[in-house]
Amino acid sequence: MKRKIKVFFNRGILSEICFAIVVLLIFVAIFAPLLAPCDPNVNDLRNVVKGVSSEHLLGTDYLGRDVMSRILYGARISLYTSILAGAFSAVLGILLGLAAGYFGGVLNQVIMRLTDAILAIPALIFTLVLASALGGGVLSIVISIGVSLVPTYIRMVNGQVLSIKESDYVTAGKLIGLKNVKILLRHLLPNCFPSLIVLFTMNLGQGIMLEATMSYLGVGIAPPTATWGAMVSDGYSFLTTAPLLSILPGVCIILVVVAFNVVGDGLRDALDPRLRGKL
Amino acid sequence: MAEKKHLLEVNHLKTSFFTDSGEVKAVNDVSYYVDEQEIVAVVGESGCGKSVTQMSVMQLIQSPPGKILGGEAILEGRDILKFRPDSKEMRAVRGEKISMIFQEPMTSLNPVITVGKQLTEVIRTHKKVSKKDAWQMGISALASVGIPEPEARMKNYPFEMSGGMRQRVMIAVAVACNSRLIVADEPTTALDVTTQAQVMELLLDVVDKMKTSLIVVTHNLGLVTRYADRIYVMYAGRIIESGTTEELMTKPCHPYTIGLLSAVPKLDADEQTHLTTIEGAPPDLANLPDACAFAPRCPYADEECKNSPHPELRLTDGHTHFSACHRKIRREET
Amino acid sequence: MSEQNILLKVENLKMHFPAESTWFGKPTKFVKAVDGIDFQIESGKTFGLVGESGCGKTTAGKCVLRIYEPTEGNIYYQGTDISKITQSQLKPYRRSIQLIFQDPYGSLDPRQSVGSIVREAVLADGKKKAEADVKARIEELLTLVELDLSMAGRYPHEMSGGQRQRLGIARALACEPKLIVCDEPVSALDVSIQAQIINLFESLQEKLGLTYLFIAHDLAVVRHIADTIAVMYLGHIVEMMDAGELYANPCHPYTKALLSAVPVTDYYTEQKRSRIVLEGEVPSPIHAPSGCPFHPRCRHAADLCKTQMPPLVDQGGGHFVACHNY
Repeated sequence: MKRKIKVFFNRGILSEICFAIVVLLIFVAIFAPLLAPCDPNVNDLRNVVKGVSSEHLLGTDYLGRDVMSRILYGARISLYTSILAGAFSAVLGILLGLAAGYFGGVLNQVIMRLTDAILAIPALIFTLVLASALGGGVLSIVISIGVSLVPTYIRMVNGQVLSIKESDYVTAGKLIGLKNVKILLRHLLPNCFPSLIVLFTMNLGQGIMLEATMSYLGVGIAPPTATWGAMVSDGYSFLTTAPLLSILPGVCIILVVVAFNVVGDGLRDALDPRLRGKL
Repeated sequence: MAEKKHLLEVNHLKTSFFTDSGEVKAVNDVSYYVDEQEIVAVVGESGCGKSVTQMSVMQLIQSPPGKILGGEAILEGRDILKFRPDSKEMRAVRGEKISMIFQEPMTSLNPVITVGKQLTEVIRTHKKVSKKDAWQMGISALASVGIPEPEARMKNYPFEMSGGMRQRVMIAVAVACNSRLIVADEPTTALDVTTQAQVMELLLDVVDKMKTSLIVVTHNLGLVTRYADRIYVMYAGRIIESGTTEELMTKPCHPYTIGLLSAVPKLDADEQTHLTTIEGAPPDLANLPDACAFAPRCPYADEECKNSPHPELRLTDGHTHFSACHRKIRREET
Repeated sequence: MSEQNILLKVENLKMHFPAESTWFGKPTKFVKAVDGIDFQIESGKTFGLVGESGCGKTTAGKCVLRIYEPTEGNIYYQGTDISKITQSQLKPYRRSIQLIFQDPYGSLDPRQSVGSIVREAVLADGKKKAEADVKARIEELLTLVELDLSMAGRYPHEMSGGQRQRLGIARALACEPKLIVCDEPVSALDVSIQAQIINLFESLQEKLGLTYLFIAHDLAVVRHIADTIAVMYLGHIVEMMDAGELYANPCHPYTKALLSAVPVTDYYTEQKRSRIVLEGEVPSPIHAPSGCPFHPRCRHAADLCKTQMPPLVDQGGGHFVACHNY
């Protein structure tokens, strides 16, 4: 365990910074109500698009709402939707991938072709269409992002199971009398974990990206809830006069997505050095 | 009496790998030589440094983490270790003066380029000939190593050939370049028994016809008995015994050599007794003691062995039989 | 050799893998990995199966273990034909026949510790056991294979090749097997470690009365450990005899060539030996030659050899040869 932590942080200053960013994000998301100076949804039409001031540390947006508070609350939305969507897609994807890989045959064909079909559609369009079809709201956003991410798990688990299935230690398990289910859960699944954990962290980044884009396009979480994507979109008209309105949330998105990816890299190296550079 | 000039003379070679666990002394003061038209074997188990020694001489060590720390390798009067690894002089040595054949013929050949193309590429690197001439030279090289239908084979890809045939192609490369010395690193380990015999007989033939010398690196003691003129036995980065094949196989002196020979199952023995094993395991090359590296496993080790510095190679009998051992053990005594 | 003593009897075992199929999936060409072999193993003895790559020895071993479903033939284990029964009918015999793998590292789950691997094998028969008994059994097994008890917490990548192989043996022994198929168990090990593991195999056989089907390509190792040896070529057994006869009295031309290709470490003997260097390569099992599979490379091949497959005939004293010249 100690060695794993060492490896994770040994990868250079970038890993450490990104890990700090992720921790910061989680912290902010949890403690947003305590950290935010104002209510993010309170309009103050006398103070629209005001610059930095002592009252509003990062200025106000076009409805006079405090930008800083909106960013802090936005972190919540980003984290909640991506974790929920990530967990949903992971559970569903792993189950389907295990079934497809282990039992093969027709089941494998059906699941994999379905996966191919979903992957053939660009993620954004797929998520957009699904979210609209399910109606607005947080739950439909989560489900649609989740569904668009499921194929990544299915593909990965299926591939891993297919290759591990032929290993000598799986044969050994059968020879000593282990039941199929036991082999699946004790030998196949745990050996997929390192790749899966990495995929999960990377999908968190992807999920945040998808949510932000949908909010930017106006089909995401409904206003007045503060989300980074919506903030970027709202601030678009003020790019020349008050660029911070779009840039700040944009930078947050970039930082968080990159941080998740780098942390995913580090996790991969820490958990299984045999996978180094091979994801 | 003037000393006959050796074809290749390696003196006090030292190569280490600098890893997280410390300095791994893979080659720890190794000296050996090869004469013209001679077959020399370097024998030892995995981790003894036999392959790293040859790679060091060819300057093929990955640096970092490896580094040649000292020593000289004199070929035709020049110390090739003084050349920079990627210099023109060193590249002229590799392939032209010294060819190397590796254990895994599949990975020595580029799988997406035909055999013919690879052969001609090597030939044209070392000789100024046209593509057409190089192609013809390639065909005759393949023919000289006994590959049937060489013209057709030139157009084959490596995966279309068996392991034995691929190994022959590697030998053909050495033949085509007219090398003075062929270094074969475990050339037959990945091959079937009968194919092993074919490849070794071919190498013998090449040595005979082309007057090359051969260094065979292997852990197969039987192979060495049959084919080698002289043998060097390595353990933990050092040569611990050397001599002619007859001397080493009939009168081994070093306890490691004796132990190794007793541990090999005998095909021709009438009585099948329990194999005598060497207890324990090879030492950690990152934490080598100054004393004899074999002492912890040696059935004859005494206090002197465990405390005094590693023994030097000393002449034990005749003019050519050397052993690095404080005690003078004879096989008959065991 | 009484009938009750025969632990394993294999009759006309064939294993054909489809190589090419028509559009509709019907196989047209086959890889005849094993093409009709017969042998039997007495309880407590070691049967050596020797040959070069592609001869079918590993496939034969996997058929005995029912890892492959044999195309044809019978496999009698303790008198019962286990070749065609279903996997669930096979359950009572599953643990009784075990396998030691060629690659010690690949046969161990990299995420399981030594203790966990042995424990799983001990408990896999599904019978309830007291924790104290389980622990005692694990310690007993580790001691049997000469692994230090402190190794229980180690992982496969922290062990040497020899130690990993010992662990594989301990796992097999945990199932209390009667027959162990050893698939090239020492090929991947250094000379000095090989000797340790061979000695371990022998002492375990003495202690526990195990029976081995020992598959290897190293003639010297097989000669040392086996009681009876069968030489395979392209899916057939070409010669079968007592281990002592292998070097002293080889009959089949392939056996002779094989022996000649293996150098011995006795310097003076080696200098005097004659060498038979075979021409060509082992043909692919898809395009197996007609008649005797060895005839294209055999110096003594006659017309009969090209058309008719020679039967395995007893030359006397249990020495069987499949050659028309005998």
